[in-house]
Amino acid sequence: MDPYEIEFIGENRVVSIIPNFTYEKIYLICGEFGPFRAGLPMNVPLWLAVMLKQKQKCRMVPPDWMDIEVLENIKEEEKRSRFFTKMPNEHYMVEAKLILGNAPEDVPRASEIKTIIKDIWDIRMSKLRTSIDTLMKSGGNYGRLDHLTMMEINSVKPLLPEAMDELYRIEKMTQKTMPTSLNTSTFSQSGSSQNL
Amino acid sequence: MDLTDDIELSEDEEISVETVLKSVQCAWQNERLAPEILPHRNDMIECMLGQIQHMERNINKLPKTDLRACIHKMELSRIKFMICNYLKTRLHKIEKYCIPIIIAERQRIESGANYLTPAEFKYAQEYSLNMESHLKSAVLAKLPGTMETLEMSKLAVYPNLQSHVFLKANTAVKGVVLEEGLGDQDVEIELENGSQHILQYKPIAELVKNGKVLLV
Amino acid sequence: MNNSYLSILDILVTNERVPCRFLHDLPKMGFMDPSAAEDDLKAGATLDVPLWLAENFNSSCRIPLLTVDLPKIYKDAYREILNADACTVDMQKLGQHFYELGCYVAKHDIKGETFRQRFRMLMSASVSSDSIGSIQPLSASERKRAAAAAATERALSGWLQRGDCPLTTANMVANHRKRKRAEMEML
Repeated sequence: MDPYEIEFIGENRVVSIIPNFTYEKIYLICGEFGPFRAGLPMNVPLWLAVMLKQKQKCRMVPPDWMDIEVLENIKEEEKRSRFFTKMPNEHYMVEAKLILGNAPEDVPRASEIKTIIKDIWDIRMSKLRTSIDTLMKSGGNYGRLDHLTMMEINSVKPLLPEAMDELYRIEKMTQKTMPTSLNTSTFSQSGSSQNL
Repeated sequence: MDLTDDIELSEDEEISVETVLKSVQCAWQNERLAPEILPHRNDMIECMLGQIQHMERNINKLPKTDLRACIHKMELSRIKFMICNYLKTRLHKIEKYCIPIIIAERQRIESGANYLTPAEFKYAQEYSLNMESHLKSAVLAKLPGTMETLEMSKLAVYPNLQSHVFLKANTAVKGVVLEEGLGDQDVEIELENGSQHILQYKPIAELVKNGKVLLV
Repeated sequence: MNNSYLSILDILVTNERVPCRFLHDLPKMGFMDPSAAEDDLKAGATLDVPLWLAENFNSSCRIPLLTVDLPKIYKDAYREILNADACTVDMQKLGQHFYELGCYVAKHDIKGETFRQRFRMLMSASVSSDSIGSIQPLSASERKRAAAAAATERALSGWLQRGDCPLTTANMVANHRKRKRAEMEML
């Protein structure tokens, strides 16, 4: 999938905003939101938050985890652990990109936060590379990947699944190949039916 | 598309549109990531399209600059994108795996467990016929008599059910049997609720179809 | 890719030449051997013949007309090298279709192991900036895989860098190097 499609999926997450206008409740297909009270925080889907922000109709409220201390802890934990740690949410990168990208002025110490998130991402990506290499070396037919987010999983497609497919195919074919000599016509799998 | 199909379902069960939307999103995601075509969710899609129409009528009553109108339009565009992409993905698979899909679908129709909507099935059959007559008129008709025959079954492209997919378990599932590459011994694994795995599609195909796992 | 009737890859693979030894005199077939002066192809002649043709020589008669010898990449000497360090073998030169052709002609199971060992090269080829150098020793299918992985990598960094707040800065490139070195150390 394209990163933008994953962003699209992540945009359905609910975030908090402070509107600067007052309006009654709005009944969307994905749920009801509001009422909008100027100055009072409320929840809306991320896509709506971005839209309102772009129209200068709200301030964004950074999610709890978008905090230097919380993120430093996550980063340390991520460095320490052999496994992937659980991220604050399944679309942390999408949330970070959209909130920090559209409303850096609404996030205290935005640029430091940006750097830490990027560090965490880099640590996880490098861990991901070593773990898929290990996965391939250790057999390459099954792996468990708890706590990886969709954007991270997508970064190893199609390489990892296709390499696993290829490995499976090679090993299946190797089993089927003739035990001794090659001078029969059976060694062709797909070409033999052509009867040229 | 056929409107008379599955309307009872959405009326009987009184599910909220919000739930329907979530199901459509899962169906879209699974369809995008599964190697084979999945059972259609026409009931959900029709319900959603009905909602969209209803909403659009209401939006038209609002003044153009109304903020609510903008918000609703944005939501509808998002849903329309998803539905279009879902249907296009299915059409793409129908074209690619046309021959095996038609054969399997004929059997499924007999047992009443069809995967394609009537419109999709019609499309598949026409696509196959068009391809056949195109190949015949463009190439085979110009070849000497003995080479003129065409066995459509030889042109069949099959989805690779052995391909590896990523999934997240929506619930605990026991006894998923993995086929060992080297044919030694089959391994049984358990999918804990919320856990994520990469494995072959075939042993978990049913779990995708009954919603116990979500492809990611 | 998977064995469909019109798979171009499969056609290319079966078009690879394999060393064959002819078991019988074949009248009027001397033209197949450019070095032979006679009209007939003699028993014992050795020729490189496309796999599909070798196969048809044998399937069209009641008795086998030739034996197919292993291409050298599948022979013991290379097998030892592949066992020792699969990454050192230049597949572009020696086995453009190493895995695919091997599935037809080579019975031993070293292909899977070779693929596993060389997977690391695919990963580094996919993030590498000096693309030409790093993909050179790869086989055709490996190169395809590395290119697909590089496309994913590009899409992802495109996403990360787009917008008012690029989440990756210029030091991403620097980090790549660091990261790659870190990987190597762990292997």
